[in-house]
Amino acid sequence: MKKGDLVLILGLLAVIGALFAVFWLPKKSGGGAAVVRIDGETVETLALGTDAEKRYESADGGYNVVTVKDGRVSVTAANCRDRICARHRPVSKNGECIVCLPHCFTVTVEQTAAPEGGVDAVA
Amino acid sequence: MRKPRLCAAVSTALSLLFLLPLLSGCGAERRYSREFYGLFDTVITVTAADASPASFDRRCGALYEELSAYHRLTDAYHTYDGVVNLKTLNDTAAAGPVEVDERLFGLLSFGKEAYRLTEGRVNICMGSVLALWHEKREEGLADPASASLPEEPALKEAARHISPDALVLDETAKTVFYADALLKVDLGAVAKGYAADAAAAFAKENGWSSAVLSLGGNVIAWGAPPGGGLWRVGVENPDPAADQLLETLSLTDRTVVTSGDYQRYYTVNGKNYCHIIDPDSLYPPAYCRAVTVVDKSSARADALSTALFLLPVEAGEELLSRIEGAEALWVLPDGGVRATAGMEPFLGG
Repeated sequence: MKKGDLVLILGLLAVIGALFAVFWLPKKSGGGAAVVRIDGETVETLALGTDAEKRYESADGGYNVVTVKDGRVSVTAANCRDRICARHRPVSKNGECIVCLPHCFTVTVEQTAAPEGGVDAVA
Repeated sequence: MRKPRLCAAVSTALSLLFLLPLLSGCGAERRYSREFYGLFDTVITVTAADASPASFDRRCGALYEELSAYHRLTDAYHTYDGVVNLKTLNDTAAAGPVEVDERLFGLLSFGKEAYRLTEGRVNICMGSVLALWHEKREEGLADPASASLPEEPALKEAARHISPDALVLDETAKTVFYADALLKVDLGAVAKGYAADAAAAFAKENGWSSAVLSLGGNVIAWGAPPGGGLWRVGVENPDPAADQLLETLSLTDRTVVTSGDYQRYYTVNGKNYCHIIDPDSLYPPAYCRAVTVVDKSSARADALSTALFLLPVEAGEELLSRIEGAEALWVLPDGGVRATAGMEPFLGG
């Protein structure tokens, strides 16, 4: 095997490595997101790194206000009857989720860079 | 002579490319998640290792159908064409034996078993009492200013019709008969756990060797998550001012079920009343804020978490000592945490 071949192999491996990094490795940029879903469909993905307050309308005039502050997300207002979502503590770890059953609404933390403290489900 | 060398180089690189997923441990399966509504009055979430989005979708669809069947059978409020369900039984089983689907029969049998297992704390025949609380809670949530408690005499009268002996199950004929005309069955303490076990068995059979399924916090996990290790199941903190989960459990081939006073409740004169009712006092208990049970059977964990919520901690520990394989973690009224010794291996995730 000649030197040129080695360079070629290494070059191709570098390209493959780059592709691998882009497509296979989990996204590690940005410090996480709060994924808002209504009826199981993703409505919006909010970056946890940017403070924000947004209102989401669900069926029958229902609404939930989602607030992102200091890397944590919470539901700060809602017109559901049980108020379970609005009472829930702010969440910031992968897999943590706030549910509003009456509105079929969830906001879930995903893709945070730090896997520590992340969960697959909550009981 | 250049071309063959180029081919050799490219093929070497390509073969390494195909080996890459193996080397990185990704394998062919990836992690997918889905949530759906409309069943068991809750949100159902599933996370599973699967080969492609299409195959994950297909298996989710099959799982939804399986869970829908249980939902219809255990629905106490609606009727469905051609389905003899809990509402049918509550409406007609006092008139004479009614033949039911073996899944509903199995669940009712488990309900009676749960009464023995929990030494009377879990009673699926308490429907008449629970209906009074349910009605007042709904009214109270809709109009908090005029929230009220059920009338004491009404509760006492309803409690005369909660004997499990009045629920007559004929194993051979698969029929159900209510020997008390005022008996009402409520499967709230067992239906989700029972359905979770059935759904997990179905999903394994249908090709998911690794998944975690949550029926509104009734969690069941099996296999290893993509990437290896154990599934991580958070235990929710009953304190809304807390800034993190109470605990994270690391486990697999287990189920985790929590019963607590911090989600479903209503407020009367400044005092909170949760949805779990003591079969003796006919009021919500106040022994602890929440109990989380880890077990192999979700149906049993569901019943046990309710039972332990209805017992002083010491009495609960005693009950558990007679039950093989079930572990528990209590959140006390002052926020303190207590757990059985067997809980230790799951803690500290």
